[in-house]
Amino acid sequence: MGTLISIRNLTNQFGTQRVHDGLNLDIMQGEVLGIVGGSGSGKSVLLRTILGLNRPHSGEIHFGGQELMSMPDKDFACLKRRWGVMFQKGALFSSLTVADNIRFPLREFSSLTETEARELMYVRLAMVGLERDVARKYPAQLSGGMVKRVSLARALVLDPVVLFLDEPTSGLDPVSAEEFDQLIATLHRNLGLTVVMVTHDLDSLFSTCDRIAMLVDKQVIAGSLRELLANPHPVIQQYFGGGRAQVLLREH
Amino acid sequence: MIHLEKQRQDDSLFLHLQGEWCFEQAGEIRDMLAALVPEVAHITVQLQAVSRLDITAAWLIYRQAQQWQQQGKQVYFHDFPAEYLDYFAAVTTDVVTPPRLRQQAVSLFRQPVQGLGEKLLHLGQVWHSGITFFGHSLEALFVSLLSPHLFRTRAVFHHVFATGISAVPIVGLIACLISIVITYQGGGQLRDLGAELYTVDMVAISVLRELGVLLTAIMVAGRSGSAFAAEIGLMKTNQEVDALRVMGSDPFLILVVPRLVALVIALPLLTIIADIVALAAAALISSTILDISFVQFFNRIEANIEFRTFAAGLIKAPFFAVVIALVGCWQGMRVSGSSESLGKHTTQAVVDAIFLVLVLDALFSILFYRLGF
Repeated sequence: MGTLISIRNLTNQFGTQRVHDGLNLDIMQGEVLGIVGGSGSGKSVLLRTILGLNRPHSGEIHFGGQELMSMPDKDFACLKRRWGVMFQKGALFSSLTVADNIRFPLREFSSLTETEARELMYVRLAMVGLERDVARKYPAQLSGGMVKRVSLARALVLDPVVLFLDEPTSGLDPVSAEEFDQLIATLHRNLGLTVVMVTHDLDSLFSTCDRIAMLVDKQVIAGSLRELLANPHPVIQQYFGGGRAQVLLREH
Repeated sequence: MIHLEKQRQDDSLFLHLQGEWCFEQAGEIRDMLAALVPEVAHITVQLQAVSRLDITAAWLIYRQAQQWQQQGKQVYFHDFPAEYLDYFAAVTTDVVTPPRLRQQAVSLFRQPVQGLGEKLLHLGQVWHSGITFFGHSLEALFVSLLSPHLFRTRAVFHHVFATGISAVPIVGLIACLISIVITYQGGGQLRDLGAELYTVDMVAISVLRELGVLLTAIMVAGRSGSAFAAEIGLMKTNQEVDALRVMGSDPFLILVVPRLVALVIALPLLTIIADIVALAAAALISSTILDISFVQFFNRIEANIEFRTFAAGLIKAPFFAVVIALVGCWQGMRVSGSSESLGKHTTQAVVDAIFLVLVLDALFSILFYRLGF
């Protein structure tokens, strides 16, 4: 398994506040990587930077051997079609129905017929465990959990190579969260999908992620759960030393 | 890259799929499968050599297999991911049955009637909501006037600045331009009659009674009415209004009253500024094209224009302000969920506010005529 995304010497700065300072991170092909860290440690900024939504102060990001920062916008946009992104709040287009939200990328970027697009939309709905009649609703009529599912369905509709998830299970009930984790695991197994998720959910972190990247002191410490637990850094020990983490660790 | 190997044995066809079957090749896959017209009873699709099979590609294969099955052929899959089959089984092709002829005939009559009824019902709801909003706002206004600690002075100052002071340049410019237009148009006509001095009366009366306040109100409706609707509408979609309610504060007291009071203060002041700028511009134009000097111009105004002409214009400003502020806030409160709704209600706020301002202006004209004001 090669490296899919590699981040080198990334520095992000807002005003005088430095969020990342010489951050290095490698994301392997076909792994599920969990990005964790305390609130305000720059998880979302890191994700936004990889997605090209935030221009870093300095540093390089390579995707499959290509450098993203110096890439022309058109090529970058083309590349990003192979990426699926699920935003924290869903980011569904509120003026489109669920069906049109999911079909939007298909309509824009594929040569599929209308019937094929509709059927593929229903396949995605079935995948994320939603009923068919949800398709006719508008995002404002959906519950929080359904918004997450529809958002995932939209992220999956172009069969991405990498899936970026920003807090996928936050706001879901435990049953849905577990189903969500299983869904990610299934997709990962069948599609060889690389998954990068920012998460606070220790359950999904322990059950789904192959590797964990923890943001500590404006840098990343990455490794398997075992490696991180063996790391004596006080922030890591504090993160995994809390009561909830300890209970879960005993289970896994 | 996709690769398909065909192998025929007696009455069965073996399809060996190889390579990466992905979304990008969707068209190619579809054509390749459709080009196969197997004249056999059994088809076996073997996928063990496929290095990557994504959902789109798998679905296209599955769909083709379904079509073969409908043609009476037996299709077998080898190494087709089981999870995919579960997903696909949930999706059966839609069969849309057209409504029967009798039903169509009924709906032909029912539709307009039903549509009219729904429209009326909707109109009733809108009126109900508007009147409730108006009452609730007035109640909140009296509550805050009776107990001054509830009155949000800082917010009022903020909105006076946003709706009034920052609107001074554009309101002044518009007053200036409209006054130039009237002076040129009217002055030219009156000079032919040798009555150019009456230009002063004409400009002063039309600006002070009507145009100053009306154009200012329309400008403010466009600037601030829409801003009120958008601000409150976004707060509504963010559940900020709900948060206020849950905290036990009245959103009317916090959101509507300061905007209402601020606009009632700002609009008359803007009107006075518009009047001054318009008269100054008229004086300037008169002195250049009509040979009426500044002294002559203002002497004429002092002699012929009574204070009540100015008052007749100014007195309308607070009423216009109430209409603009309440319509803006009301439409903001009516926003629900989507960004489309936000746009719709913001537009509606401006359109309704301008419409109501003009209606009110017409009523004032009738009233002033009857009163001989």
